[in-house]
Amino acid sequence: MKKILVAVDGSDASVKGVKAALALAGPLGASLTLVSVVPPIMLPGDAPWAPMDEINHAEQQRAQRALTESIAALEPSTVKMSTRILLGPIAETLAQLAEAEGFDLVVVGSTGKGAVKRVLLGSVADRLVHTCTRPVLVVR
Amino acid sequence: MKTILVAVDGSEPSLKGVHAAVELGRGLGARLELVYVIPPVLLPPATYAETIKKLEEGNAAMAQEALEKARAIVAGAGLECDLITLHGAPAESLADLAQAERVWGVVIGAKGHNALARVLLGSTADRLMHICSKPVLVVR
Repeated sequence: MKKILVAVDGSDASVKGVKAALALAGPLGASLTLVSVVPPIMLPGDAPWAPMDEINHAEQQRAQRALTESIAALEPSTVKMSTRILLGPIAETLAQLAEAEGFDLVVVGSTGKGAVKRVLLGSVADRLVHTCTRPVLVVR
Repeated sequence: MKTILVAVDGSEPSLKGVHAAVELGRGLGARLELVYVIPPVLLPPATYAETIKKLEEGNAAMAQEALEKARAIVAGAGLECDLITLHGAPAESLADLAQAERVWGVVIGAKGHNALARVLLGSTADRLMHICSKPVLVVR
């Protein structure tokens, strides 16, 4: 396992995922790529007034903040880390990236920002394990 | 020392899971427990005791064979492991065992013997993802 992809959305489970990925990457000598995906925003068709530029900008900033905070929460290490922000449906975008760039492992938190408290497995993690052709580690 | 459970049923993805678990085990400094779950078989009430005995012997032999095959992989990598055979519903039995304090997480093949060729995620892996309280690694 040389290339590990970690999904980041700033939720508790995703922070745990990043920590678990780092714990693995160190001894395995793997590199970490932290990815935050901004999902497409659905607005009603009769909302031409919507300030899309501002919304998109805010979403990008949120993604950037999630990445920065995740990295800040980590113990200092020598693991090679990089970050990416991508646009698109979350699970599919992660699965595509993992396959296209030959990641050996995808780490995802079991429930992200959107999940109902009771749920053990969120929709993104669920969809990811169903669609991703690379090994997926779901962290709780 | 933490333990990683590895679901083993002798299928190709489950053997891939063993390889991944070896790598994980090295990374985390964890030991491995290989687990084979014999699912309950529903038989008509009038089944001969002899038939039941044969079935049970057949199941036990299959479990042993699958576990030994997996153990050979682990031993080949220079690690040690324990072999466990459980009786019950596969996903539920694995999730129950995973609740033990010593367990870090569970590694499972994306599909076992029963999955349709087309399906990316088998029912046992899917169910385990939903009910397990520890991290789950799904391997393809």
